[in-house]
Amino acid sequence: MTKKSIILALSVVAFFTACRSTRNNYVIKEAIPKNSNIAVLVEGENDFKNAVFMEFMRGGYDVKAFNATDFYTTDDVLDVKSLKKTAFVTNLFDPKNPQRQVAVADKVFENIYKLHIFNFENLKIEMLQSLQKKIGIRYVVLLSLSKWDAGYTWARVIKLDTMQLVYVQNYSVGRKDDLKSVIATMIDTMQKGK
Amino acid sequence: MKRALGILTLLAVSNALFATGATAIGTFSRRFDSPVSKEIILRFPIFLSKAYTRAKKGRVMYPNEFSKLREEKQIASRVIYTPDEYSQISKLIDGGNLLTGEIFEYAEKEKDDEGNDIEPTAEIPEKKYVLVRLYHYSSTTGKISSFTVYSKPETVVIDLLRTVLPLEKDRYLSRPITSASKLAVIAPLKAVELNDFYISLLSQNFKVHPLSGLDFEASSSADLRLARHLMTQRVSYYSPLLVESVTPPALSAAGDNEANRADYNAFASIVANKDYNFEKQLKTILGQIRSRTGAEYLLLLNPDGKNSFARGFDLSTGGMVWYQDSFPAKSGADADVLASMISEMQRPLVILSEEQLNKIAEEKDRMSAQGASGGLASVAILDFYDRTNTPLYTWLASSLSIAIDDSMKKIFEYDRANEKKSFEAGSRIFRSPADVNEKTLKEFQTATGADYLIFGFYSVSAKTGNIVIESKIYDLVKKKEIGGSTTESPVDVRLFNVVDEISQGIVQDIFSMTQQQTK
Repeated sequence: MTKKSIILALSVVAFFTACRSTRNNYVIKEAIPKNSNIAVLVEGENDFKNAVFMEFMRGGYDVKAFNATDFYTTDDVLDVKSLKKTAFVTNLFDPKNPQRQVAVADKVFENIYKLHIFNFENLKIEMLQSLQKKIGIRYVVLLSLSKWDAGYTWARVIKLDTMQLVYVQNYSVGRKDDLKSVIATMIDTMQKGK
Repeated sequence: MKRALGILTLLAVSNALFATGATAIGTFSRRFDSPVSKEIILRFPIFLSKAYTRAKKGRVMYPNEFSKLREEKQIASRVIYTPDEYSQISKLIDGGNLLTGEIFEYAEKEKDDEGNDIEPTAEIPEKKYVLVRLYHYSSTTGKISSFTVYSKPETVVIDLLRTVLPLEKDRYLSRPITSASKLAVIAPLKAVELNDFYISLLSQNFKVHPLSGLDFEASSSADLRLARHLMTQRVSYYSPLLVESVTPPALSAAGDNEANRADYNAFASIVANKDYNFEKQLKTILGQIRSRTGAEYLLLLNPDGKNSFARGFDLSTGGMVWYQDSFPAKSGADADVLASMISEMQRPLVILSEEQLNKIAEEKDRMSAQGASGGLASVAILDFYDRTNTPLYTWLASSLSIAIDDSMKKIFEYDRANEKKSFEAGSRIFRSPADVNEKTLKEFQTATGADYLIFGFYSVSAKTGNIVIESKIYDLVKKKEIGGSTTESPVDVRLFNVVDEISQGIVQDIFSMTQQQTK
């Protein structure tokens, strides 16, 4: 086995180890200091959201009133999926289709869909960046506590200056955990940066 | 132990991915005969063969060899084939690849009846670049990779090599995307799996600019299915298609046509915008993603068992720089496929070093400086032997040698050995085909001073009534046969096309021989 092959094999093993899915898995690239302007996006009813926002405010963050400015929840008013889905009927390139003939309208239709895949993501970035420009938000915190009963929660933090992911955590909920303790653990990790 | 076996299996699978069959060179179309198109048609196969041998990327099948196989199966000579024709070709090249191309150059100024230059309607720049579109069909994957190379005439052959070399079986990566790169990622994963994937990327020091995961929504593999095939001017990857129409049908003026002009114009405008303008729009969107996220690459990763695929875009140029449809993953699970994708994205390319490429470029320059013949010595062309047993075709004996001489001159500069001496020595030494042996070849070489001898036989096929031409090429210095072909043609205008093909094969064989000598 050549030196290159050994290095390749070792890096593949290291990658598989890093990639193994554990329910208590996290990486944080930098600390998210107290007093930072943050937007917390969390799924759930308004009383539940209030409880979450309070924990972040107690943690010293300036929680901007995004996703909390009205009585509706995200699920009520915005079904992103419905914006995203565009029905497609055929795929020109499907090798099972023996003819694979290209009619001009089919090709145009496929192209529109392909552009839509990329542009949909592009529009989401634009929307997040407007949070920074319009209300001065520096970090977007996405929290999912809806799988509480399934035993896990997760969080992601995106730094809007660079649009980089700086913190990701899949947190396995223990018997002694409650909402407060889970968020406290996450805030502690965010502030320590390790 | 189990893990060690796993690694070995993985490496074995990985090595299998590198392995490629022979790469056949097919038709390279050109707008007109020019020194550049000649150089590409003749020298690109030779230098590709050289580069592939050095990079251990399999054998290159020269155009004459492929053309012979193709003709035996009565498959037309084309740059792009239909799906059915590609299936037939797959059997011919047996797990290998077919490389074809189109050469586009600025036309020389046309002359009017009095010989004056006609001013071209389009503006021709001072520096005339050449554009070559390559089509690489892989019979194992059934997919076409297409690349466009826009280059100076003096560097185009080497640029074609640079473009084709990184291509592997089912993987194209123009350069490895290594850790510390800034990645924007689209991957259809559920939130927790997506987090695990992002954690693994961050652990490897990639900088992640998430696109999937900016919200709570998860896309599905089916959402991304259509993004597998992308056709752009620069790099494309797709299955062969039967192109039925590329423009909207004309608006019929028939009385029962319910479409009105405004609707038709709206449709035509959508076509123009989303079809002809597709690449520009994609580039604009990718440019916006770059300026908004600061990412360098956009990865579109679709782990979906056997239907998995990965695409990578360089956001600064808007071009596709990575595509791959199969991965040496330890299982079909999404996490394993994704791990394999990231590993493959970083795997070094199987190409030549810059130093090796420079050596090939120097060699090509030396050949170019010596003229199109590349320093080849003189070639003797004798009349062909008539084996038709009928006086009807005696005229072909000298006509064929003259036609081959004329045809070779079109694509290749060489010194024809003294015709009088060659004719005299040929008719004295080779009275019948059986007279060709090491001794007589030496005698002919001494008499004429030629380095190569071309001659052959022709007969009439009892089955078809066509003329069967068998050509032979001998290296008179080494005193051995170095190539030849057997071709069949009706005795009509098609014979001239056949002669052109024979000539191209002869030139290729001679080039091939000189390359072996200088290896």
